[in-house]
Amino acid sequence: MSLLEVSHLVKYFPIRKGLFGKIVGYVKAVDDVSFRINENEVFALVGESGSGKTTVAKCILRLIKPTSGKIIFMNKDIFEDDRESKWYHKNVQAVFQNPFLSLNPRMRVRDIIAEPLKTHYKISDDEVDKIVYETLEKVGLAKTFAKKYPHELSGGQAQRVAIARAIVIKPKLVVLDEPTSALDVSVQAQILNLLVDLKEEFKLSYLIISHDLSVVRYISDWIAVMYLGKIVELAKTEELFEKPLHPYTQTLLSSIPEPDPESMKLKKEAVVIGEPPSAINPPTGCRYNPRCVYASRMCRDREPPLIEYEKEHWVACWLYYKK
Amino acid sequence: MSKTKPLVVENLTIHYYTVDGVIKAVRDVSFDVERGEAVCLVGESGSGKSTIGLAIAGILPENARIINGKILVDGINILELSERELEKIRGREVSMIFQDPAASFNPLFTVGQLLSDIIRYKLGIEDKEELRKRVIEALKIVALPDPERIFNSYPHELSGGMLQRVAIAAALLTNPKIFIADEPTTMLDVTLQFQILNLLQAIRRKFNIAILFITHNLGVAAMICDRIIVIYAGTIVEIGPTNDILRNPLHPYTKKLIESIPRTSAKISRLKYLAGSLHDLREIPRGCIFRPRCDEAFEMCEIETPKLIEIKPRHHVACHKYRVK
Repeated sequence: MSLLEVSHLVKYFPIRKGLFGKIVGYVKAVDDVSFRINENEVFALVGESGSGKTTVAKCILRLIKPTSGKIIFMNKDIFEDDRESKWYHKNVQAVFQNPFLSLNPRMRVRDIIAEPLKTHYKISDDEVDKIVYETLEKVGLAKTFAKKYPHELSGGQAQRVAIARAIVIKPKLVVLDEPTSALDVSVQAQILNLLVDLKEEFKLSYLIISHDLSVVRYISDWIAVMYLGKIVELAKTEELFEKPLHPYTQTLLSSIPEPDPESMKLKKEAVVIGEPPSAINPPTGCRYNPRCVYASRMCRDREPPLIEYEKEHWVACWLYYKK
Repeated sequence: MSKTKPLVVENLTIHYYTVDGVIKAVRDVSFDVERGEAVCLVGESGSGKSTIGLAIAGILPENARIINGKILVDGINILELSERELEKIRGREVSMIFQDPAASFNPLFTVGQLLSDIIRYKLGIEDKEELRKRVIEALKIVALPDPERIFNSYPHELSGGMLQRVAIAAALLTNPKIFIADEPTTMLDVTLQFQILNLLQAIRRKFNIAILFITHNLGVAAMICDRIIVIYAGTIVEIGPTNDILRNPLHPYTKKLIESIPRTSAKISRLKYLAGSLHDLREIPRGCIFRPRCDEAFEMCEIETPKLIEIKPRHHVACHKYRVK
């Protein structure tokens, strides 16, 4: 069942110049993005810096208002009625990249985790304590951590606290924005395992934002690949890794260095050209065409639509249009 | 023959003096790098990998002391040199590139001015035309489009990937014997990372430069390096040819490190990980420092610090498991 539906989401940021803040252009951060997250599923948005993945997450978290488009959560338009905001945030929580920036340094772990509880429920302090301790245990931290301040924690422990704060009110959806990219690999493995366990236990859905395709392969059910504000490919995880269709997805997959001598031999042949262009003046036609080895005139002139090339596998590329 | 090696590190021990005590960050580290060879120092945060790099480049922070050891650059022990003599080697025989290219350039000068200054200062060339020619040449080597424009650009006008190319060009200007690259691609997107790694590889082949590559990413190490040095809590636990280390890791730490990496090449149902945390480096325990986190530890590991022993040609490991009885 669909939990969250994003349809035709657009977010332009105006560029202002001069004394009167005249708008001289727009950064087209997100340009017509649609996807759906089902209950108890993990949906991943992957892409490089500037692809707009975090802007999509910010819109979903109601941190910014989209220029146009709709986000429907449990059959309600989340931007239609501001009075629903409290209900919405009881169901949608977030974990960010750097726990030391997202946890208040002047609050103890106990108060950090208690805050969403107190906001959404009227319960006694004893009950709050009980739930906080339970949640700490769920994220693999001992009771003694409740008294600590964020600066006394390691990166992995702090990220566990951030996860505890997100799940303490039993939300339906947790937005994970690069949840492990600030951590060492061995700690990353622990956090990823924890996220998988919590998802099963609490029947959570995740929207995970990441630039790391190997992390995404481990955790997600669906993957959408973004490039300069557009989804270029969308498929089930296994399908995407086995049969990447879009030339950008292929390049992205072959650029990842893996500690595996056999796979590296293949990768030496991968072709990557040029730098990502800016979202202020995206190239005409297909936005990937200046870097694409298959680009033809058609690609420079017209923008390819996102089509369902195979069952449950969408791609926006003229190479696949004729079928 | 060891004298002709561009880099030999012997028994290097480095301590940091902090208000909280003395941190024994690097202990008894020895390795060498051959001409034209790329060697990776791989380790997690706090392993001491960057400290080693900084020591070789001669730019350790002020609270760091080299307690023991030698660093031979082309046969000369740089630790015995005066500051003036060191100045001739630093940035000339040894060049370094850093993680954040934007932070390694002075934002007030153009790329041309910055790079010309390096040649003027290190090689003593004053002729403007000559300087310009050499800088443009270096910018061409790192495959920057339109080097004339880049020459007149300020650092903020260039993207992260382009700046890292400029940093590599800057490091090449003095024809160094050895390149130290400290996480040069960590801040870049994967497609750019791929380009920069390929560029470093090409430059190494073309100029036969030795590269000491410092990274936390075993995948990056696999792509660029001939040999891998795995470092844990300030000591080397394993050294060996890249393929050997990745196919048959010997040290329990190396095994765990490789297993904890999620892959794109296969679906893994459950990631393995390393429990516990890094030892407090103010108090070094007796025995193996990895013991508290090791599944395979036995009595010996508590008593004696394991030494590096050669198990296969050029593959050394510091673990009691492999001791011949």
